Amino acid sequence: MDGSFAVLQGRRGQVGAAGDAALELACGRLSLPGSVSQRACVFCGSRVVLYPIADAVHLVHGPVGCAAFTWDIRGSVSTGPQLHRLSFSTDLRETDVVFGGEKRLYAALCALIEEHNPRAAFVYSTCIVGIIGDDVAAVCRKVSAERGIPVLPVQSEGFKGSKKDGYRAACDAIASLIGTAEPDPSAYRGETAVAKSPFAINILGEFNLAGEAWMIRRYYERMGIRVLSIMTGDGRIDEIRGSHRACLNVVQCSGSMIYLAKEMKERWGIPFVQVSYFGVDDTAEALYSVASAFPEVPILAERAAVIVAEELDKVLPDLRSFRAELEGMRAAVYVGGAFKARSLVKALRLIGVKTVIVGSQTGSKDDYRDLGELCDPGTIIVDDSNPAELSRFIRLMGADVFIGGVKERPIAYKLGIGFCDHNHERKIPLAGFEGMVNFAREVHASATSPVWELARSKGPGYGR
Amino acid sequence: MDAKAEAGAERYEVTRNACVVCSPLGAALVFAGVERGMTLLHGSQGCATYIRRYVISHFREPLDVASSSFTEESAVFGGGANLRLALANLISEYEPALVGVATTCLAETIGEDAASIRHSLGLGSKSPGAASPTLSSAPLIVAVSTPSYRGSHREGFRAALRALTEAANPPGMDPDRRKRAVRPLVALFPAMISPADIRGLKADFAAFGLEAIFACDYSDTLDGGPWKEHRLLPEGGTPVASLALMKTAAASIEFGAEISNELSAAAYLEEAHGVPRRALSLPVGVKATDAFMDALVDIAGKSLPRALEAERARLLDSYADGHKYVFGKRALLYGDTDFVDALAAFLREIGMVPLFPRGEGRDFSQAEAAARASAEAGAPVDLVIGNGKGYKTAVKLGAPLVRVGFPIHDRFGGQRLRILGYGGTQELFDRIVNALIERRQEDSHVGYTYY
Repeated sequence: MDGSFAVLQGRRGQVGAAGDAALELACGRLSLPGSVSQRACVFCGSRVVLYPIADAVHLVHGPVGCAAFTWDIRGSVSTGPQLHRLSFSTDLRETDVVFGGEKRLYAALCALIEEHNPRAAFVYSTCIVGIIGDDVAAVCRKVSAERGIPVLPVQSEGFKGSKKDGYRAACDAIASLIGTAEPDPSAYRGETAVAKSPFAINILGEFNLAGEAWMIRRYYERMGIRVLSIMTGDGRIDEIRGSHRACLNVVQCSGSMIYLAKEMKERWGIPFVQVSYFGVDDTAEALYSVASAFPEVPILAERAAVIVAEELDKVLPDLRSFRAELEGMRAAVYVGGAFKARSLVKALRLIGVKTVIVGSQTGSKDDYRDLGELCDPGTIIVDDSNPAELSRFIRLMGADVFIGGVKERPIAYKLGIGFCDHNHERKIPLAGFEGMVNFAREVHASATSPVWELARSKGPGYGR
Repeated sequence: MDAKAEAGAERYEVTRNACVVCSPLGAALVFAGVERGMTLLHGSQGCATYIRRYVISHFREPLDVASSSFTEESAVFGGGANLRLALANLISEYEPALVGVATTCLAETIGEDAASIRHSLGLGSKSPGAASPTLSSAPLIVAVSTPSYRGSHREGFRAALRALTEAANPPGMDPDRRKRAVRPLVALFPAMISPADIRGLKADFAAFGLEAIFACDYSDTLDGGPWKEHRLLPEGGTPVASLALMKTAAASIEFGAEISNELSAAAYLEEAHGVPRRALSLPVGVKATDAFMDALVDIAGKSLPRALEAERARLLDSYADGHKYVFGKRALLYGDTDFVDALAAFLREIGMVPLFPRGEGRDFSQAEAAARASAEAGAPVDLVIGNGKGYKTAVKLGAPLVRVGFPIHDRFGGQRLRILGYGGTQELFDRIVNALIERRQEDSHVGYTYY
């Protein structure tokens, strides 16, 4: 089948079509050299997950680039400390490569802890640290003992796997914090009315882009649920340390934090549910599935139903008017995680847009099988794609709008189609009920813009 | 390691909010300025992706950078197999005319530098196009060492210019002196300037009737039109065949702060092919542009064209009109020394006081320390001039930011900002004067409408 989709030989099997009898994408492979993958590396995976923990120092141990490229990279916002928005690097030089960077790492950690008085420090290993053999863990232990705060090594050497391995390294670092302190209800940062609620959850894989975590927390609080920790959304070290007292972990962006959910289930017996907050269906489903984790308290499900009804009343009129103008348009979706891609296909369908290409950087076989069942027959489904393939697919399928990240934006614009940024740099909340309206507005503003017609026009001298 | 870097190593304990990025990025920009040129980074997948994201966010244009996508096995047993596979894949997909293989810190740390890559790919000093006979189509393949633990994006840019120039103009071939006399060419080695400034410089050469070969010209590749037909690489860039003519140039012009001989493409052309090297500061301001024009007058054997004379006169007139707004104002500079040095000289010629951190100046905490020290001595900073990453520093200092250079991720149109030549200086001067006027107007309760 994929022969007709013209991909590099080494990528055969990583593309297919919905409706194929036996859609089984080869995935979880390392990126093919020379394919211009849209993926980053292990370091990137760790850095983006831990990034929103706002009261920790994040020190990148390596040459200057890795820290410079990830300075202020996410749209994650914090109510208080802003340490995560700073970029710190040991800025290793040639002499350090020869003689080792441990002394430099020690000095850097001491200086930063002195300067910023953080609640913890994360030390990210970059490629060469793994080669020159610095004992990062030993330096972290020493500084931790001297300064009395957790100092956590993150084993994120870029070449040691894929972005997913970076997620796992980040989860390992978080896991080592959990259970090292008790939650403090008097320090609860949400609605005080639920500060002592016995129904306590953690939210995993939520990064508070444009304040999305705050919106989601409010839904749960309206249900009477206490949100103990949003690990990596407006994250705080002390809340993570006490998060083992939750009754339930609610995991979104399952690709990045499912490891932690599994670990917490094993270590602390905390069950988890997987949810998504993109689109009204999935948001409603998220609230219901959390409620159903507390079957002995039916009031939670009743409140969830009230919230869903209220919120739908607010957003449906707007969504209907966007749908009227978007009906029949075709979308290409290429995002980091396949779980999100699924939500996007449904959200697009709600506003009348049909997904004709869908792919992700890190999806699993099951994810792609599910996508195959969800999408209309013929929809191209692709793992770890690249600009050459994506632009070919867009021309082949005739997409009108691309949902992706900043690296995909110029592909869309050069081809003269709309674009909606659904990656971690976004500044507009796209989660939850109100986020769905923003999403529809974003898609509408780009897909129906008059500039595309001009871009296709021939210009003077070709007749009118 | 040279003495300067060694001394610098003692001065910092941690780099906070770096105002430089790593060397492979500079190399990727150079190769993007060659027609059908592509960069292949030898290292982890992430380097290519980070650099793409950083460059794309500034230019708002596609930039495809390939990677040899190291694995744990490559790190232990060598990345040669991955590199060859990457080359084969990108050549079959993109059909490039040039592949610039730039190393990363990972490759270099395991000993795979440019020399070893050249050896393992069998890249000799053959003529362009014949560099790799083992591959089906035969792009020019250039290898350059750009470990990020050495220098910054500026050094990567220089190293790539040099490697490209060497590969397209191998030593040992006698320059065609007759050709040189008949058709005066200038080999131009820019810094990391904007596409608009490249276009401005080209217009200056055209005004003299001179032909210039830009060793890298991304004025179209990173600032072009919509793609109406299927393509994977943008139109534009200097053709490889033109690069090979640089050895016949009447002279070379190399822009930037002091460039060491081993990083200088112009020095190479002079040593290997006898092309006289003219090292000039980036032409920001009247004096620096005059020096550039003097060079063109000299090479072309013509006087300054009237249009340029008029442009210069308008700029001088605006200096007179605007001098009191800017006199004595302190401007904080940071980042790439090619720009810092050129901007500092320009600021001095209009009566402003440039301020920049001593030493390496690799991060904004050093720049802010310099500003604080000046403020404590009774001379606070009035203006910040540099790339968009200086935004937070400018906010902290309470001074307006005039954005120039790379990257500008927080405003629109960075690729179209000019600062070079009389015309570019005019645009910069107007922006500086207006930034200062705007601040005065905002700070005043009177609401003046004449300034």
